[in-house]
Amino acid sequence: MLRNYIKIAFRNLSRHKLFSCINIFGLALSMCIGLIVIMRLQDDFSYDRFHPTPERSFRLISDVITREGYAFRLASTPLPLAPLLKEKYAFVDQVVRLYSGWSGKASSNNKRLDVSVAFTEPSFFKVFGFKLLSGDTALALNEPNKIVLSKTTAERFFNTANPVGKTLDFGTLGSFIVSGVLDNTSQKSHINFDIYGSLNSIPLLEKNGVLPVVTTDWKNLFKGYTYVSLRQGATQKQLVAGLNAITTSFKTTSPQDKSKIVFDLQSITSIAPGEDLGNGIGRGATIGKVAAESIIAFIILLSACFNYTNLSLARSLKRAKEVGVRKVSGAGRRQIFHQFLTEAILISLLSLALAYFMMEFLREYSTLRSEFFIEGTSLSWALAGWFLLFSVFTGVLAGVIPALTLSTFRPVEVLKNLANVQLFGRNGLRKALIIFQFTLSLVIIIFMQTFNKQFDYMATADYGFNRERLINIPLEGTDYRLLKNELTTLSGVEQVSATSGNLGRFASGISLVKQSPLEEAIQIRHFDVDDHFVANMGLKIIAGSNIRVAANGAETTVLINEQSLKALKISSPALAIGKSIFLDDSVKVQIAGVLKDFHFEGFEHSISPMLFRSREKEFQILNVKTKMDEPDAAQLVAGIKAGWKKINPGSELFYAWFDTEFSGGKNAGASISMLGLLAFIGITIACLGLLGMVVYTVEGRSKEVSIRKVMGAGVMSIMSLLSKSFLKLIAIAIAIAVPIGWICSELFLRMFAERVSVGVGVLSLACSFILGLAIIVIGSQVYRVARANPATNLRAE
Amino acid sequence: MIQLRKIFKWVNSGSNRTFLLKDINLDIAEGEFVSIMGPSGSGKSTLLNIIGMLDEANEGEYNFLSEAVHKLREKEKSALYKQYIGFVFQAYHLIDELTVYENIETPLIYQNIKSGERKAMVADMLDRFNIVGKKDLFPAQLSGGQQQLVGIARALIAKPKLLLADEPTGNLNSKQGEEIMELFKTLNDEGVTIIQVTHSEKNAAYGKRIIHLLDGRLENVAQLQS
Repeated sequence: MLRNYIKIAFRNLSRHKLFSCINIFGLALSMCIGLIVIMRLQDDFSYDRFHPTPERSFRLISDVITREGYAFRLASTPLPLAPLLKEKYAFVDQVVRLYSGWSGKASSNNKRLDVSVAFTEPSFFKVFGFKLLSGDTALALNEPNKIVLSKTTAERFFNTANPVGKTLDFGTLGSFIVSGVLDNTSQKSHINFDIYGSLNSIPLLEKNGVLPVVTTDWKNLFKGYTYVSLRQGATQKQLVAGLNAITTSFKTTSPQDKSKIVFDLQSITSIAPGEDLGNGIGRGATIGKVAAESIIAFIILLSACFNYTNLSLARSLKRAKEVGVRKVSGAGRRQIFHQFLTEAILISLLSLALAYFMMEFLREYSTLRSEFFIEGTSLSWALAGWFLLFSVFTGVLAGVIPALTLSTFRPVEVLKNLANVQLFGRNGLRKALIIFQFTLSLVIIIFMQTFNKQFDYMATADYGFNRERLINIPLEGTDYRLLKNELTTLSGVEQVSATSGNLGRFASGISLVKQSPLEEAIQIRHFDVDDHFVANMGLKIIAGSNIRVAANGAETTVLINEQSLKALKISSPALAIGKSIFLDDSVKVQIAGVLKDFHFEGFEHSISPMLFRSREKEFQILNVKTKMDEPDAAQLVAGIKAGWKKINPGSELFYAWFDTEFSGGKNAGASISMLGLLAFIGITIACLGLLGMVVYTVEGRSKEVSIRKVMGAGVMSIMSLLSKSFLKLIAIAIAIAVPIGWICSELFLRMFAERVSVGVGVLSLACSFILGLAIIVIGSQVYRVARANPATNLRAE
Repeated sequence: MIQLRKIFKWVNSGSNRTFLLKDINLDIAEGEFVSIMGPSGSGKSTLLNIIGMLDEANEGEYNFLSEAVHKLREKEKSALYKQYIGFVFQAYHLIDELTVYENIETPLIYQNIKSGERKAMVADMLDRFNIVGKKDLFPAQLSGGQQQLVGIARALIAKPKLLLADEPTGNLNSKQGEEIMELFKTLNDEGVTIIQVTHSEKNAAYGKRIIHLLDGRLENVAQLQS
């Protein structure tokens, strides 16, 4: 029976190639998104599945109410909580503190690399069930200054050599001995630090003032994470009660404080994916994100399935005779239903194959690779199973209505006179669907165009500072004077400046500024720059002179912009020169000069008060300005590399041309591609839906068309007669979409202080694009019917 | 075999009730060959459809092989006609996407007959109708007469007791029509009960009895000598 169904399904597919193609293509497009989401979901749900006692292991949560009455939930808890629990309650088996206090550079073997570090205790291995690739879990973190490296980190530092016994230098924290390597690839946990240090290293560092005191501080809610596993037989209720008791006693210790902290818990298996908590660690999606992704994929899928349904119903007149014959031959309703469902599932399986190729194509070639795909996911049997299941689900979703409809056909009716068969009159719904699909597509197109226009503008507009002939080099802790001197001597270099951050994105920080010690401070954003920066960036000093960098590093002068002038209520630039101001309550400096306003932040913000300070230790980036006539950029870069190597033998130079880096940061290519993909899918599905509707209606009206032709109607008049109702739908869609698209775009543009306008151009281009597409789709079908020979149609009646 | 008692069939259009069949009383015994005649719209096809259980009378009793059809549910009726009745249509109604072989095989599939057995039965039928050479062709590749042969072969494959034919020769030329009628006669001689609807006196004459319908009424029943 099944073989028979499949055979006839294939013959139908190959006989009606156009229908098959659009069905398969439309479904594959949306299924492709579905597959991507499934892959992501599979990853989302693969965390924390290896813990030994998941049913009695928990992470503790802080429910915080601030003095102002704001409530928020934190994934972190004060570090003293864990020892207290362990001491107070016998039902607590193990507690794990995780202190995420420090991140920075660690060095070994001439390698200096950025690492994230958490400090924890030996129970870490017991509660989570982490296994070590090398080293002993009992001895790994039991003494101060021991560390365990993740497998990837071990490879970064020591390649394939066994790192156990080697030392890593953590700068001010001192050196640590590697005591184990954690397999972080097969044991997927929401916790994914590069390095785990022994927590008992911390008290000494706190005592010596290297680190702030956190391990015994009940007020610090942000640095520690607490995990608890209970003894066998103990219940979650007991732990909740225990936590409540602590909360109460904890609260009474500080009665003057109105703020309140209550401790709660979550199961270790519901962390990733889980509730959206503040101050989370590591990785793992929130339930909200998982749901949002699934819903978007489902809507796209549903939209495509609707089209399949639409097209199949459009074709059901052609299949009606077959149904009649089969029923007369003894087929039951259920058998007909199964046949058509099988057909839909078959189509959906074919779509799956195409969707898989589409997905692999996206993964290989798309700019969206990193947005869509999780590194290292590959097709496993389980995943393939999910894909198949998804495909069958899609088939059922798409095919159930046509199968139900076809299976109810009564042979007496369909075999006698096809024209009398009334397919259900849900035209209103179908029209609404078409309008909805086109409205959605048009809104996306309008929005995408506006988006593109704005980012284009931002990438090329004049920000008021120079971005040409500049190479930016992150200092990464290198001595700025040494490197500056080294690079200044290179032949192609005009001058070198230093800054705490590149212009055009964010200020480096905020200074509290007062004109006299007693008045209320105002907040002014700042950068730290050296004396060559103003010239390198082509900034204009409208009054006064440049900032001075003192040899002893003392801060004596600042530059302010015109907005700061207003903020400080100084009436003219000239009056500001030489004025003393107080920074952050402690530093007294003079205003050396006033800068003409420029966009030191992105166009998201209008120009606000800003000042340049000159603290050397804040410098992060060197700006190398090349000479105007420098012919050989490659040679210059090689020279810079050599200079860098001289000072930093162990590390690689990173550099970027400011103009490319800047426009790269502004063009939002990934978002554009994402919107483009969505628009493409939306439009394609909408057009397929329209096509189905047109074919269905036009076929149903072929008798009417024939009669009109016999009465003398011309091709043109028939075409306009048939197209009118569809064009009306498109017109309605445009009428809805234009204002919505315009409002969405305007709202989006509101995020930018400096912005383009949506413009008639954008709107009319989008509308004519959609209209053109619709006319092609409608026209092709209508033309066919209008040209048909009336005699053939009428004879069949 | 068939007993129709006071069969009425009507359709309502607006407030008017149009009768398609009025007070039909008819008995057909096993082994008969009955022709139903009458002008267009006299209710011939309606009567045939009711006998074939594809349609239901609005009123009246219908007993088929001592089963009270008017009391059966849809599913039971379906099982009944699946087992006992074969249909032949004026427009052949073959499935375009299936070959001759597969078209003939279709009813067997729905009777859950095993593949090996099906093969033998279809081969027998192809043999008998002399269309073995055409078994892999699609209906569109056959002439009208050949298509109708396939249609009859399909109707007979499940060994029905009753063959219902709605103008089986209506779309055929006279020679092809004659061949089909000869075939019907042979089948009837072999014991298959046949009821056909026809416009042609000549074709009707192949039967043993002619039933004349007019405006939904049974006008007269003529017994033919044979």
